[in-house]
Amino acid sequence: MVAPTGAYADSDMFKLQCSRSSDRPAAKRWDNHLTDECRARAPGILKVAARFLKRPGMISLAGGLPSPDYFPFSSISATIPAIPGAAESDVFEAESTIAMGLRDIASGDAAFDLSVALNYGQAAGSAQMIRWITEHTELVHKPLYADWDTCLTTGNTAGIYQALRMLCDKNRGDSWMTEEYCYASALETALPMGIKTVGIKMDADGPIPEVMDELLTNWDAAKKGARKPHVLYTVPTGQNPTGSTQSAARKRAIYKACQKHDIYIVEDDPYYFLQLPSNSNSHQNSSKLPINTFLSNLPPSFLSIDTDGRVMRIDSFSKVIVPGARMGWVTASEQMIERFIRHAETASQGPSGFSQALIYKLVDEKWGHQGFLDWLQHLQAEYTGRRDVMLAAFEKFLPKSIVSWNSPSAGMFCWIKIKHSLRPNAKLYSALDIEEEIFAACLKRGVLIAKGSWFRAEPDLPLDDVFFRLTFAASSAENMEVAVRTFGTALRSIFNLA
Amino acid sequence: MLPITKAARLRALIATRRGVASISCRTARSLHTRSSLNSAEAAATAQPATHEVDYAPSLLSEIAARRAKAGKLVAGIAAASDSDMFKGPQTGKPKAKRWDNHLSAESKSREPCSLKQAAKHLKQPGLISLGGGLPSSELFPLDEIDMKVAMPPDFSEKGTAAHGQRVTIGKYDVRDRDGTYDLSIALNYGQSTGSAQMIRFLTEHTEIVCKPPYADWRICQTIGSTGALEQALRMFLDKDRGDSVLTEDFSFSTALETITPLGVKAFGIPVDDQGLIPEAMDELLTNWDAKARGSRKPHLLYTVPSGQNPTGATQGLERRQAIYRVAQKHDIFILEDEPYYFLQMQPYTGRGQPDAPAPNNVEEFVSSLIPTYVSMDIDGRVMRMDSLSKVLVPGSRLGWIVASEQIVERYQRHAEVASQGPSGFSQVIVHKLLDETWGHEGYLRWLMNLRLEYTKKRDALLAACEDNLPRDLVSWTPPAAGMFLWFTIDHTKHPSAGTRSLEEIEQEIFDSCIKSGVLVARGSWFATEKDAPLPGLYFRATFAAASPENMNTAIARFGQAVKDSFGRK
Repeated sequence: MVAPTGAYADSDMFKLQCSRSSDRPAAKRWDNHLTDECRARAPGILKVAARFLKRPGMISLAGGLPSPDYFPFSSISATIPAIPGAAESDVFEAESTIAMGLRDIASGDAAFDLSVALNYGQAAGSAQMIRWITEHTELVHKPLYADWDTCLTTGNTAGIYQALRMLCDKNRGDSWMTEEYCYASALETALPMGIKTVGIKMDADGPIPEVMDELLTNWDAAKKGARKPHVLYTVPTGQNPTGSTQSAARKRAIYKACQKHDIYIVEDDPYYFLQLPSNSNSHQNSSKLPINTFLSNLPPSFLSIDTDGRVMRIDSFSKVIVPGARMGWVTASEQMIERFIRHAETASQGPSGFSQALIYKLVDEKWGHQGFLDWLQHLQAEYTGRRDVMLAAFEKFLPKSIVSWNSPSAGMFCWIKIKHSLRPNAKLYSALDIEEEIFAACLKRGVLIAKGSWFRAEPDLPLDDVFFRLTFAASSAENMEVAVRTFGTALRSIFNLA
Repeated sequence: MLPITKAARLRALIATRRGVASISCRTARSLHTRSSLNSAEAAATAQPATHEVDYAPSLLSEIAARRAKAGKLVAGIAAASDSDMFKGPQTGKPKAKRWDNHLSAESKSREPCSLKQAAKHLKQPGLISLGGGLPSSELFPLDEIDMKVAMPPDFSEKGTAAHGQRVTIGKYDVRDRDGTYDLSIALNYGQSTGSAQMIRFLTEHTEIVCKPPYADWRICQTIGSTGALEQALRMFLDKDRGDSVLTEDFSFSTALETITPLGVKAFGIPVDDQGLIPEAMDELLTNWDAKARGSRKPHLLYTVPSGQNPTGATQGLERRQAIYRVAQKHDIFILEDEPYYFLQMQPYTGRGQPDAPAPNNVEEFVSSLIPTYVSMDIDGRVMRMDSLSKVLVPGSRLGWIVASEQIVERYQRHAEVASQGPSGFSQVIVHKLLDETWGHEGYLRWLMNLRLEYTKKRDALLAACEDNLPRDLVSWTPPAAGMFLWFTIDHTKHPSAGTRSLEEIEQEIFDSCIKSGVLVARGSWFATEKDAPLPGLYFRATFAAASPENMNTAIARFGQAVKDSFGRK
C-alpha cells in the first residue's frame, strides 16, 4: 500500500466482498434526521485543494504542513509481552517488539512510518488503519448493504458526542432514547445540548422493544415537551451500568421497532469483545477456540443485521488494547460517515499519530487479524476469571434475602438490586435516602461502589428501585473479596440482619 | 557570538525593560547536574564563569528548586491536577474577572461528571474501588516503549539517526524504577485535563514564556488547537442569542469552517502588515448596528497574533497592547491562537546582507519573543491556545490552553464529554522527551534551533520571489513569524480591471498555476465574510515544507502565471 502524508482513504479501497459495485442495496438517506449544524458543514477548502497534489510534477506551496526534517523522533519501538499458551497463533509465545522509524517508507518497503504518522493526516485517520478496520469489519460484522464506510475517532466519548451533534437539535425540540439506566457520560453529553433523554424500561436482556414501540406509538409531543424521538442510543453488550447483554432475538425486535418508527440507531459497543462465557471453567477451553468458531460464537451486532444503513456502530480500542490510545472507530453508511468526518475535521483532526503508529504496528503488522482475535480470547479468559471471583464473593458474603443480581455475560459490570422496602422503617425513607445510606456506609468502611441513580436516564422521575454497580475489571481477587464482604456487612447492619 | 560582557548587559537590559526574569548560565548549568541531560549537552552549554553577574535568581533554577522542595510528584491513574499545584507564588496579583455573561447557555449548563466526582473519595487511604470502569493495566499488551530522540546541540535528522539519545518508558517505572510517569498510568483512562505530569511541565513552561499577571490562571491540555478552538467557540457563542465573533478579515479557513455550522457570524477586521488594526476594531464596535449586521455586538475576538494564517502578519508589542485596550473598552474576550509563536524568526536583513546575530542562549531567545496576550492580561480575558503541532510533531494531537480558572473549568467540563483529553501515548512520549530528556532548557534550545531553520527556509523563499516575481505587480512583506508569505497583487494594473471581477482574475491566475505545476492558496479561500466583495487580489505561499530548489521553480511558475494574466511577457 502506498499512502503518504495526508493520504485520503475510505473503506471502499479495501473491501473484499461488499463494495459499492456489489449487488447489495445502498443505505437509505438520513437527511431529515440530520441537524442544521451537521448539514451546514462544508468540506475544508484546503483539503479540497489537496486533490490537485495528485498531478505529476506539482509543487505545493499551499499546505501548512511542517517538514519531517524537524521531527525529533528517529524511531519508536515497543515491547509486547509473552503470553505463553494464550492462543493458537504463536505471536504470543515469546516477548517481541514492534518498531517504526522516521523514514521506513523511503528506505524500505514499509507501509507506514513516523514521517507520515506524526505529520498532519486526514481526520478520518490514516489509510493504514482504515484498511485494518475495514477488513476487521468484514470479518466480524459483514454488513448487509453496499455503501458502508468507516473512520477513526478519538474514542467513543468523541464518537457519541459527534453523533449527537449530527442527529439532535434542541431548536427542533429533539429528544433521544436510551436505556433507562444509561452510561453517565452519554447523559452528560446530551443535557447541555438541550436534548431531552427518554429512558426505555429494561429487563435482563436490555431495553424492552414492546415498551419502546408503545412509547413511540403513543408519543404526545406537547405532553412530553419534545418531538417524537428519532434516535436510539444503546449499549447492547455488557451494558454500562446494568451489565445486560441483548440477545440476537432482542436486537432483531428492537431493530424492527426502529424501522417502524424511523429511528436511527447509535450502537455503542465498547464491551463487544469482552464476552464472558457463563460456565466458570469454560474460559480455560474457550481460549483455544479456532478463529472461525470464535467468530461464529459472537452475537450479531446491530450493524450486522442492518439492512437500511440506519445504524452507526461505535467501536473502541479502550477496553481491548489501552484506553490511553484515545482511538476508536465508527461504521455507518457513506452519507453518515462523510458528515461525521466533516465534523471531525474541525473537532479533532483525528486520533493521535503516536496512537495510530503503535496500534497499527501491533494489530496489523505484528498480530494480524488472527492474532488480534487470539488476544481477545486471552482477554476474555482474564475477565471471565475476574467476574467469577466477584460472583463467588456475592454468593459468599451478600445477604440474599435483600440482594439479587444477574451474572453478566459480557463487559465489566455487575448490577445489584437491593430490596430497599425490607429496611426497618422503610416507609420513613425514600429509595434515594436508602441508596445514599448504603453508599455512605460502604464508603465509611473503605469501599467505593457506584450508585444506580447516577445512571438514570430521567432523574426527575421517582426512583422505585435501589441498584448498585460494581466492577470486576480492575481490582485484585483479594480486594474484590474484601470489598464485597464489606458491602455485605454494611447491608446487614442497615437492614438489621444477622 | 556577542562578547560576554555585551551579552550580559543585553540580558540585564531586556530583563528590566520587559520584566523578563533573567536565566543565568550559572544556574542553568547547575540544573544539568540534576537533570538527565548527557555530558555532550552539558559541554555545549558550558559558559565561562565570568557570566556570574548578580541577577535575581533565574526562573529555570527557581523551577528546579521548587520541584526539589515539593519532592517526587506522585500522580497515579487518572490523578486530578491543576496548575495551582505547580505554580510559583502569585502574591500580589489580582484574580481574573468573571465571564458569566460571555458564556453560552450550553457551557453554563454543564454539570461535573458524577463518576468523576465520586473519584474524590479515592483519596481516602486504603479505599477499594469497585466504582470506576477502568480496565486493569495488567492487561495492556505493551511492556515498554523505546525511542531514539534528537539531542542538543545537533538536533538534525542525520545527527539524531546517528547518535540520538535512546530513552525508555516502562509499564511500571513508577513502582519499579522511581519514575514519575509510566505506561500503566499514561495508557489507562485519565482526566480530561491530561496528566498531572504534563500539567506540571506546561505550567512551568507558561511561567517561563507568558508569566500571566493575574493569580488564578490555569492550564488544560487539549487534543490540539483544532479541538480547542471548536470547544472555545461553543463556550462563548450562542446562535440563539444572535452572537458573532470578530477575526482578521482574512482568517484561518478551518477556523471559519468551524464557526459557520454553529449558526453564528464571523466579522472581519481590516489588517495591515502588523495584523489587526485596533482603530478599525474600535470603530467597528463603537458604531455597531445589530440590526444592519444581523448579530448583536460581538463579545469575542479570535486572532492569530504571530505569523497569522494566511497573511503571515505578526502583531508587535504595541499593536497587541492597543488591541487589548480596545478589547477592554468593549468587554471583548480574546481567543489567542498561537501555533506559530515559537516560529518567530530572525529579522530579515535583505539579500546578501549579514544575518542578524542569533540568540546566544535560551534567555536571550525567550527575551527576543514578542510578549503574548496572556502576559499582558490583567483581566483574565484571554484564552491562549498553544500547540506542539508546528514545533514538535502535528501527530501528537496535543496542545494546551491558558486561561482563568473559571474558563478552564468550563473548558474541562466540555472536554470530559467531547474528547477525554489527549492520547496517553502522546502524553507519555512527549513528557519523556520534553520533561525528562530535554528539560525546559533543552526544549527552549530545540525551539531556538527551529527558529534558525525556519529563518533559512523563509529567506530561500524570499530570494526566489526577488528573482522571479514582477515587483511592480506583486508585493509582499517578509514575514517575522510562522510559515506563510502573503502576496498582494496590484489588480488595478490588470488589463481587465473594472470589467472582470477580482474572483475571476484570481481564478484565472490559480488555474494557470495548476496548469504549470504549482499549488498556491487563493486569498478568497480565507475571506472571513464570504458575501462581501474581495478587498484585493491575494495569494498565500508557504515555505514550511518545500526544498529551496522546489521553491524557486514553484515561484517562477507562479510569477509566470501572474505575468500571463496581466498580459506581460
